[in-house]
Amino acid sequence: MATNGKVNGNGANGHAALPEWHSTPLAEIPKLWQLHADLNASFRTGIMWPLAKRKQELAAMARMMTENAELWAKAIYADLGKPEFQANLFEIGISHQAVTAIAELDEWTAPLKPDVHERHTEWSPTVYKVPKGVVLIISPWNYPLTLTMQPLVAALAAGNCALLKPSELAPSVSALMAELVPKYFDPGVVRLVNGGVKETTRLLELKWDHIFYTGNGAVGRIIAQAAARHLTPVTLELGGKSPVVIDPTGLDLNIVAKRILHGKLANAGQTCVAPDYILCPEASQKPLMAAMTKTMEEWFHETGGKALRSPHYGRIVNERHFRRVQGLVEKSKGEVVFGEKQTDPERYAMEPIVIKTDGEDDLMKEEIFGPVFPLITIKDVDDAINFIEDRDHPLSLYVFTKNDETKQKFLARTRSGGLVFNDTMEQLAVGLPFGGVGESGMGYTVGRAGYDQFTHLRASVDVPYDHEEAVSLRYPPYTEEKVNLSKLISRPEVPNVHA
Amino acid sequence: MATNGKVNGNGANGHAALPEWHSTPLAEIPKLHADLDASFRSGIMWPLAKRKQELAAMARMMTENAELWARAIYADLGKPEFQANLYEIGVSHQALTAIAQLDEWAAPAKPAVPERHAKWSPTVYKVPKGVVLIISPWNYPLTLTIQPLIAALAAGNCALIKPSELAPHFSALLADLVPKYFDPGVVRLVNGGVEETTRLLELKWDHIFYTGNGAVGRIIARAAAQHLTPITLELGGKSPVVIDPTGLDLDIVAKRILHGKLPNAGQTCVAPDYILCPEASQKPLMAAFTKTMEEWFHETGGKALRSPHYGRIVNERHFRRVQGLVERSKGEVVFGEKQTDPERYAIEPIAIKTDGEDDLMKEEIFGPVFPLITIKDVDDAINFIESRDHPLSLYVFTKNEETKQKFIARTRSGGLVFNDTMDQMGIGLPFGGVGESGMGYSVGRAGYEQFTHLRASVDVPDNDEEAVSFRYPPYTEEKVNLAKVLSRPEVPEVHA
Repeated sequence: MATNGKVNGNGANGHAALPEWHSTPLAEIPKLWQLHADLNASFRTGIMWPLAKRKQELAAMARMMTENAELWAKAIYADLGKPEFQANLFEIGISHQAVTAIAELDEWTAPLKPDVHERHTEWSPTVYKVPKGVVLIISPWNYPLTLTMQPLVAALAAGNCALLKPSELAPSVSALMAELVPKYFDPGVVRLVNGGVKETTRLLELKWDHIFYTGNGAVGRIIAQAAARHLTPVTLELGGKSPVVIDPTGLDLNIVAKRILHGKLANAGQTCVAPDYILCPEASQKPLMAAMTKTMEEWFHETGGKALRSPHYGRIVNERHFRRVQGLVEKSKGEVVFGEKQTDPERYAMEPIVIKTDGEDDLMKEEIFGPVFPLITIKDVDDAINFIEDRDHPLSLYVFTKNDETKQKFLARTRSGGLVFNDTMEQLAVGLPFGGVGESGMGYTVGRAGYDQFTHLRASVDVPYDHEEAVSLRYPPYTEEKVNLSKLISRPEVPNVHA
Repeated sequence: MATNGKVNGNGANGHAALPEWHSTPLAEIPKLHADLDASFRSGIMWPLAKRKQELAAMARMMTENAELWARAIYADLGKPEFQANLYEIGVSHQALTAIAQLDEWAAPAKPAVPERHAKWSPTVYKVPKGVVLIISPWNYPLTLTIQPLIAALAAGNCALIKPSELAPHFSALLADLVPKYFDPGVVRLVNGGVEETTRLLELKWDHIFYTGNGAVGRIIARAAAQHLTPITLELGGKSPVVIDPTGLDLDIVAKRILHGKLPNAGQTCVAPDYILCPEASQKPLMAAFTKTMEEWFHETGGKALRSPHYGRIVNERHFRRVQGLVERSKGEVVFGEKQTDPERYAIEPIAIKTDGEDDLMKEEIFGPVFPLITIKDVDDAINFIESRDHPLSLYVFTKNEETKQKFIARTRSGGLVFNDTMDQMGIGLPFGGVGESGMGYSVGRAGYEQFTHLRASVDVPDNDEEAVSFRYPPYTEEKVNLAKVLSRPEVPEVHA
């Protein structure tokens, strides 16, 4: 059911209506300070110190998602036109990560007892995993449930209290979240603020113990600068143009086409790790485009091989982004080699399309975040590597190849958040650390790596009193004997090492 | 041999003169950055053997020039040779540890994943970030340049180091020796002050590691934000000492506290800054301090001021700063005395009994002065500490297990040390602050990880296509129902 994002009072199927989105009123802005102060006071009571409490909040999070799955799917559909299948798999399915965190928590939080030199083993050398304090999580509109809950899982597992600021560009989801969060979470642990630029700016004036932001590089810089004033550490999950490289020898292009389209079509290309553009040798371009057309005919056979009006395909989030992506296509100097320039302006929907062009095209100047593939000719793998390395480090790098030497080249000579061979998108499903480098971000999310972001490693020793003789070498007076000993122990034998 | 830090052309004992300090011309700075970038992209530091080679060179740079380093450090800081050896040149061990551990640190991780993904070769590669900038301070100039450099090189980065202009003999020597030991495609150096540092901060680095104070830390963080550059900040603050007296041997306690304060005349990021102590134990503790001084400085009448085993304040500005704190204090001298040697910038160790509002409690002292503050009990101490910025170190002298647990659970600090001060630094645990005391870590594997990116990778076989095709349209009713089932796990019952 197409919608411009408005939510009606009564749901279409007689289901409960979705709540209305409200910004935290400006008049209540002073209350943002109070929220922050309350969470801080709550953290300092030690409320989240016991692991059982953390597990309880994680279980509540999982139930918030599973017990309201239909409502979440409705809200996500209202905001994004995202098919229910995708909302379940890619958003509500994040509930698994909360359950994983519960199962792994004892292991993640266990203090480390590192190996140390023999003379220090009786010092009880320990590294405690401790929470940072009160954290701010700012999430985007494209996977509004996932990208709020994923960092929240990590923050809570690590024992922090958290304030959530979901996106005003996904108002149905954010309103639903504002309603459900207080029903499931302890208000001494998780609170939520809705709003736009004004409210976010106000929040950024406060001192947080960590800020986790998912979004774009421009706002990422604003967040980092605000955090700098308070020496607040940040995690930035940003984006960029994630390339696909085709190294054709031995590839089954039918499978390749599916695996590339799968990454692009989900959420109509509005995924931080969507394959953005394709680098392909000339001779393989026509066969690849033919395979992609064949895939479309399979997947969208109900609608004549076109995605535009299929219920299995999403749309662009709003008018602004719709015009943005449409503009990129119109300004492009390239030639359409797959799909067609067709849109449904009422629904902000765009038919998937591939445009053959070059590195200077407007399509190559920004992250597309839409169902449009620039297709760029490369001579070979080395050419592709140079192309990629001349540009900002992407969040994901997708390489289709059967050649182990090619794989090694990409591993050693490129930089990217993640490196995926022979598929797109799926690295997120496996639980590995997920994070960017350079323009694509800093820090990690998912699993233990996400937990580590929100944790401080607090090193500790306990020096026994009966060690006093051993440690007293360090005291004055520095006799000649002590000085000579100090020379000896500070100048180890250096091994011979040859490159 | 006392000196105001000037170095004569010919060393006193006929040794080679120390090199002169020069700042790097501003115009050279972008070129150094571009050269290192191009060098990194050539893959020069990808092979582990190359990294080990550079680390070995680093260790030899320290051990083969130990006398020169000690002289330069003495010229800049008046630091006794014993301290220079143990606390600075001894960092050469960390380079060797890195060589020995590198294969393990750098090995790709093969994490356990659900069975259906096990055929996807799930791997986490440890990869370098690129070209990093290391800015180091004057107080442990060798240690605090070399320690992050070890981590950076072990992780496969190229590095530009910017040592402190307030330790000019050291920085000049470093500028002289770095090109003789390191591959210029891997490590370069810039000397200079605010202007040169500002120029450096305009460039885009792949990581910046800064050790110093919170004011400059904020400047670094803001500059890094312009380029989305990740940072490590090793800052400071006021590291408290808490006395929980029951069962304590105050003679040992006194030694262990003074041991943390006296090296480098209190100018250590983890020096115990102030003491929280119940009233009844203060006189005995101060008496034990005095007794310790009489032991350690028996050659100079129980006073440190003119002892060759004691350092001095780095320069006039800081000397006047610390002196000013003492003079403005409303408190009462309870150990040592207000005595200084202005020609040498030396200050006699002193403890001043006062309260939390005193000027002595407004900034990190970074000098041989202890505020002594009365607390009722451990809970009182915890409240005092928690109402202030998170310190880099928290030192608690106690024999009580419950007290230890309280400090673990109810305070925040970079590190937490029981029954000693300072020496947590020597054993290889991760070292880093929280809040005002910093972010990120130094030393060992934790330091290595600061300069490393975890690059996750999968390789999805063609013959998995049937399994993965669940995700493709059309989303039949069957697929949608299965998606619902798959996305709604059983949530375990959990009770707090």
